[in-house]
Amino acid sequence: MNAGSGGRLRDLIEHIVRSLVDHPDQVRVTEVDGEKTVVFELRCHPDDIGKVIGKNGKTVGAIRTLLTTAAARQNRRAMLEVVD
Amino acid sequence: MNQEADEAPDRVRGDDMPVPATAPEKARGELERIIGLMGFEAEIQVFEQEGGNLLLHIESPEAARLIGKRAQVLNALQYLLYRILFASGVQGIFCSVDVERYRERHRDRLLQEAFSAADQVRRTGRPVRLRPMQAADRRVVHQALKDHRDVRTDSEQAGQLGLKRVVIRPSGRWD
Repeated sequence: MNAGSGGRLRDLIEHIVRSLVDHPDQVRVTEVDGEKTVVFELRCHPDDIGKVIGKNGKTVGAIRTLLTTAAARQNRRAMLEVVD
Repeated sequence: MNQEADEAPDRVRGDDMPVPATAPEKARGELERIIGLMGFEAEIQVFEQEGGNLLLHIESPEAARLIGKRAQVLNALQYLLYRILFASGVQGIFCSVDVERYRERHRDRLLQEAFSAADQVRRTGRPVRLRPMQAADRRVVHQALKDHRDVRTDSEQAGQLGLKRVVIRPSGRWD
């Protein structure tokens, strides 16, 4: 995964989410490259969605914070959406 | 759930049990992994604290980014690390994550603000309103002045960002 492919950012999301859920094998992250922004779509086992989002979205909020920080370091913008 | 219990016999801990030897290494390993995936270079030291809690201290040439606005990044790292360790069977251990002693310096600054404002209240006999702060920071101020019986502290809405501010007033007691 070279810089620019969003590979590392995706690895970051996948690693964190897989460490949190009961069904790590069902975690899927796909990326949609935009002009300036890369959007990551996260899918997981229905029973794990609550875990990934967290109370008041606290968990997904924390993941987004790390994602944005990692992306900013490469002068990029990244977004994370949880798809159900 | 079941397989977790099998591979992690140390997950059921009593208060009197020592921190499992693996917890500090596990915590450091997880944090290192995340920061590495974020693309940052960092040196992490683990300190065991009273009560078996851990302090993970990060040194990095890009400390400012790892702290973030109002310690947002630092808090996200700390929260996710806690959740990840919990899911992997390291439970009942609180891990505080710090970058270049930011939390310590930040706390010192809050205490200084609290004490100097309290002095001003004593000198003038008039209330002093502190700048709007996060809940955790206001708590530090309330706690710091709890034993100063000649002043009392309250929080009031500051009107911006939904943040509240601490107001310090004379309590009318001088004992």
